Amino acid sequence: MFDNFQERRQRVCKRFIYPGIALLAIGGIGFALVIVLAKGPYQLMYVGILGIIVLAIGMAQLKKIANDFKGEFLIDVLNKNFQDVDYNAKSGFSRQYVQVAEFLPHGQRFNSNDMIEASYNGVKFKMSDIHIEVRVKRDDHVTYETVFRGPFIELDFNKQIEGKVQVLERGRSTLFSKYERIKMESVEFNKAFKIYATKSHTAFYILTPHFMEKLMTIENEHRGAFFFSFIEGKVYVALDSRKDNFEVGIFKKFDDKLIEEFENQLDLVKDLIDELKLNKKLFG
Amino acid sequence: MWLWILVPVVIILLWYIGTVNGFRVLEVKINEALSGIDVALTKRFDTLTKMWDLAKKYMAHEEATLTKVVELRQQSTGTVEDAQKLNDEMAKLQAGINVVVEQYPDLKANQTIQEVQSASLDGEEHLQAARRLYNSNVSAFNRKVVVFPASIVASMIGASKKNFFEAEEIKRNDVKFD
Repeated sequence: MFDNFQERRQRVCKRFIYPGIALLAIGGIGFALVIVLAKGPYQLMYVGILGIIVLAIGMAQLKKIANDFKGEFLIDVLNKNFQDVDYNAKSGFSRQYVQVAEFLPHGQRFNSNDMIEASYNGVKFKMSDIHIEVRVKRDDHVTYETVFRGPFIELDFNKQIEGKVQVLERGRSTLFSKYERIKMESVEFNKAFKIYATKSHTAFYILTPHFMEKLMTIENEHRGAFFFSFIEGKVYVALDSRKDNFEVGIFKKFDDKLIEEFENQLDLVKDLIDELKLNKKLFG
Repeated sequence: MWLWILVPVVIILLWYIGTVNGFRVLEVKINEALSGIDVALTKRFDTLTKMWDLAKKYMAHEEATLTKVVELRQQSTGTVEDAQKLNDEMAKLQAGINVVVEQYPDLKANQTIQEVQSASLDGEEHLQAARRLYNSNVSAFNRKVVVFPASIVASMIGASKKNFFEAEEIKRNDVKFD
């Protein structure tokens, strides 16, 4: 099943990667000799530049093979787990779209890919990986630091609510909410999350003891910081896992483990819908 | 010398004002939560009377409970004790209606009954949310009343522990360890 991809990768390695490394090494030796002798075979440095070009071509081809693998097998995994699947590796949420949830930092750089639109047990959802970076100026040079990286999910919510409720995991820096801080009756839950709402009644209406327990279970089962926002028939979930889901490393072995990893990365959506019983409608 | 007396007095005064305000804020929150309970009870009463209208020909024996609910609602003075009594009676009436709906398949299949039952379930969830919010505020208030040194201020301004809004009698009776 994976042989075709493995062979393509080997061909690219033989044609570009190994020769590229060899040319780069020759160029490196030439550069070292020029430095040590203050004169010498500087022409060898051009060989090194050629090596870099050959390596870059090889890397681009390896990346394409990894993307082709993802395109072929991720769709299968998605269709196996969900219904009405629509997947696009290159598209994602817009910056304005995710700001509706009101819990993500703005940042100066924003990127989103791997857009999945599907339904699971009758609950529609949209999911995409997002990466937000802020500009940091240090000693006259500018760098970019990641402030959020992970999946952002929009799910249909089964309760009709008035106002907005946010549940933000403690521990990772987030924007301060502009809404009233709410303390639930569960000490454990208050330790794990900060809760904000436009109306305290709505927070208690959504966060039933069962719901809080399940949120804690989900939080324990997935690494990273969770952010939830409940707004007008939708629940927005973001998990700052500092990982890019569904990425296939260019040298990663093509095997069943990789398919298993795809499956595992979809567990979050399934857990949210199953554990929080989002498929149980109170109306209709 | 004056400073040695003035600074502690100012600190104590500020603490006193802060603590009194703390009690007042919590009292406001408790009253807001109590009005939330009232709103939820009104919703519950409305759905119950709708259900009653739809099922009344099957349940003449529950008429006394309905009359009691209507009386309690009219006599309610807005205290938590009145809300508690009204809620307990409404829970009994609800249980009676549910039994009748289960007994008569034509009634159970009625679209309107199903819609009202859904609304009733939602009303129930709102009531539980209002109850938990009220109890959470009462719990914070009562803690402040008994914990030193805020307890001194509590006795000075006449603040005393408030009653919780208990779960419905009918629900408490569900859990029996005979």
